[in-house]
Amino acid sequence: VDVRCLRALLLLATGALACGQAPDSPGETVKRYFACLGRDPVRSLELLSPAFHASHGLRLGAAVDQAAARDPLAAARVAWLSVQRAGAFQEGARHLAAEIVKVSEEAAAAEVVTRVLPARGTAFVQRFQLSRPDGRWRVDAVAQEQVGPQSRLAAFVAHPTETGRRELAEVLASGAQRRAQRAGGERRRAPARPGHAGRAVTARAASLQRRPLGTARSKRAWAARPAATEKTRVEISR
Amino acid sequence: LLAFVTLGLAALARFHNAFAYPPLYDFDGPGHALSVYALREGALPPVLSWAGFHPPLYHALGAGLWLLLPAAIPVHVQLRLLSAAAGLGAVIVAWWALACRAEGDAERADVASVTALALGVPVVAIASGMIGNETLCTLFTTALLAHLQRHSDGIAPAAPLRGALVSALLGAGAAASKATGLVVVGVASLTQLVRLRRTPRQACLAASLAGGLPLLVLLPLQARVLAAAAGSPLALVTGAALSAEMRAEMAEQPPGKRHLGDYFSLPLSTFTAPVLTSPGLQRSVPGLLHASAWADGHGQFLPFGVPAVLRAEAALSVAGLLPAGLALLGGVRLARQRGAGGAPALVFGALLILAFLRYAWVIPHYSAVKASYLLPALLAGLLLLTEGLGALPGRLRNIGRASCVALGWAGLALTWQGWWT
Repeated sequence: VDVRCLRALLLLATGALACGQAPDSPGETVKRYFACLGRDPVRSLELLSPAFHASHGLRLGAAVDQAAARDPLAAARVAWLSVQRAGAFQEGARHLAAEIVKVSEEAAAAEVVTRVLPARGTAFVQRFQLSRPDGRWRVDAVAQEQVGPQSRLAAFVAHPTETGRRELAEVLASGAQRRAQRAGGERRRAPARPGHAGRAVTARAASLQRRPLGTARSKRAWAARPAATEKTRVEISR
Repeated sequence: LLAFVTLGLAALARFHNAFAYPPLYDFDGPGHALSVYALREGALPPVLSWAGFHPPLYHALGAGLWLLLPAAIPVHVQLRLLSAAAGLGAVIVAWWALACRAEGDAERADVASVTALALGVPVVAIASGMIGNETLCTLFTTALLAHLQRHSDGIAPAAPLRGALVSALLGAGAAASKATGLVVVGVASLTQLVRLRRTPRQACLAASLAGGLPLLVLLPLQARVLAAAAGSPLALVTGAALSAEMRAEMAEQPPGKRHLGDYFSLPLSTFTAPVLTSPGLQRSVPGLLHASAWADGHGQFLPFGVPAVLRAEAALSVAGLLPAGLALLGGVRLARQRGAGGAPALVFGALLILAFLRYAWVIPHYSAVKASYLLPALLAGLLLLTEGLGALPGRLRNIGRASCVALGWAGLALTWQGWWT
C-alpha cells in the first residue's frame, strides 16, 4: 500500500475526528473551526453565526452579489463553502497548525485567542469572538494580528475574507508578473530547454489543474482558464 | 459471476472516490450542501441559492445522514456516499428487472454483461461519486419503471389499485428528488390508463392515484420556487429562471445560440480529446453528450491537462461507439418484435430524450448538455443493449458480452480518483 495514501488517510481521520466532536466549550469550537477548514467545510457551517458570515464579505461573482441583495446569508454561506474548495486553500489548510493561548468566557459570550503556526512564514495571532444564542457556541467574529508578509496565504486560509482575498490576489499577481519578467530576462540570456526543476513545476501545476467551481461563472472561467503557472493566483482571486 | 465481481469493484471504487475526490469539487456542490445544512438546522432550503430550485428529498436524506452517521465522516463524503448508494441501487434494480424478463441462460448472461457495463460507464460512475440528486432520481425512476414493466409483462399479480399506489409512492420519490421525475409520473399515469382500459372507472382511479399523489407531494415543495420565479415553470428545471443576473451570467456560456445543425454535428475531437475545451465540442450536442457519457466531458471529476487521462478518455470515447451501436441494433430488434414488452421504459426514455433536446434548445449553453440528465432512462438503455446483444449471432454475441464487461471495468479504472498520480 502506498505510504502517501496511508498518510493521507491518517491525516483525514485525525482531522475528521477533531472536527467531529461535539463542541461544548468555546475552545472546542475554535479547535473544530481549524479542523474543519478545507477538510469538512460543510460541517464548519454549524460553527459560524450569521454575524460571522456578514463580516467575511466573501463573494463569488455578479450573480451571487445580486442574489445576496435578496438572501445575503445564503450567498455568504455559499461563498464560504466555495472558497474552501480551491486546491491552494485545501493545501494551505493541511499545513496550518493552531494552538489556543487564552480562553475567556463570560455567560453567553467568549473570546478565544489562538497562535497560528503556518508551514511557511511567521506565527500570528487570531482572536475569536463567540456567542451562545441557542445553546451552542458559534463564532461571531475573527480578528488577526501580527500577520507578516510571508504569512499572508496562511492568514487567508485561517480566516478567509473578501478583503484578504483581494489583497492576496494583488500580491500574487505582482509576484507572478515579477517572475515572468525575470524568466523573460533569463530566457534572453540563455535560451535552453527546460531542466528537471522546470518539469517538476510544470507537473505540479498540471496536478493543480482541477476544476474548482460549479457555477456558471466558474464553468466559463474554467473553459477559458489561464496558464497553469498562474493557478494559485487564479484560485485565490476567484 | 462477472457482474457480481463488477458490482463489488464498483462499490469499492465509489467508496474510494467519496473520500479521495477533493471536498466540494462536486458539480454545484456548495449549493446542494447549503440546502442540506438548511434542512439540518430545521429551515427550508434557500430558493435563491444556485441549487435552491431542486426538490428537497436528496437534501433531506443528506441532513438525516448528517445526524445519524459518525461525525468522523466529513459531511461532503456522507452526501457522496448517499449518491453512490442510490446509483448502485438503480443499477441493481435495473438488473433485477431485466433478469426477471430474461428467458434462458443466454439472455441472463446478456443482462449481466450490460449491468457490468452500466456499473462502470463514466457518466454513472461520476454521478455516483458526486454530491447531487441525479442518482436518487434515477433510483426511484428505475424502480417505478421496473414496477410498471412487471405489471405489463404479467409477472406481478394484477391488483390494480395496489399497483397504482406503489407507482404513486415511487413516482413521488422520483419527483421529490429531481424535476425529471415528473416525466416518469406522467408515464406511470398513462400506463395505468392503457393497462386498465377495459375497466374505465378503475383506469381513471389508478391513473389519478399514480399521477395525482406525486403532484400533491411536489407542488407544496416547489410552490416557493414557482412563487420566486413569478410562476415560470422553467424555474423547476434551472436556477437561471429565478434571477435575471444568473440568466445573464449563464448567457455568457458558449455557444449562446443553438442552431439545428448543432444536433447533427459530431466533431472528431469527440473521440480524440473528449473534453469541453476541444474544438467544436461546446457547440455539438451529440458530441458533448457522448463525451460526457464516456469521458469526463465537462471536466468535473478528472483533471484537465494530464496527457494520460486524456488518452484514456479518448480510448473509452472511441470504445463507447460499440455500446451505442448495440443499443441501435437493440432498438431495431425491438421495433420488429411487436409486444416484446418494456414499453413504459422505452416510452419514458424517448420522452426524456425529447425533453433533453428541447432543454438544450431553450438553454443554449454547454452546461445544459450533460449525459447525466439522461441517467433516469437507465432501464431503457440497458433494455436496448440487452436486445442488441441478443441480436448478435453465437460467437459475436460472446465477444459483445466480453466487450461490455471490459468497458465497464475500463470505466471504473478511468474514474478511480488519483490513478494518474
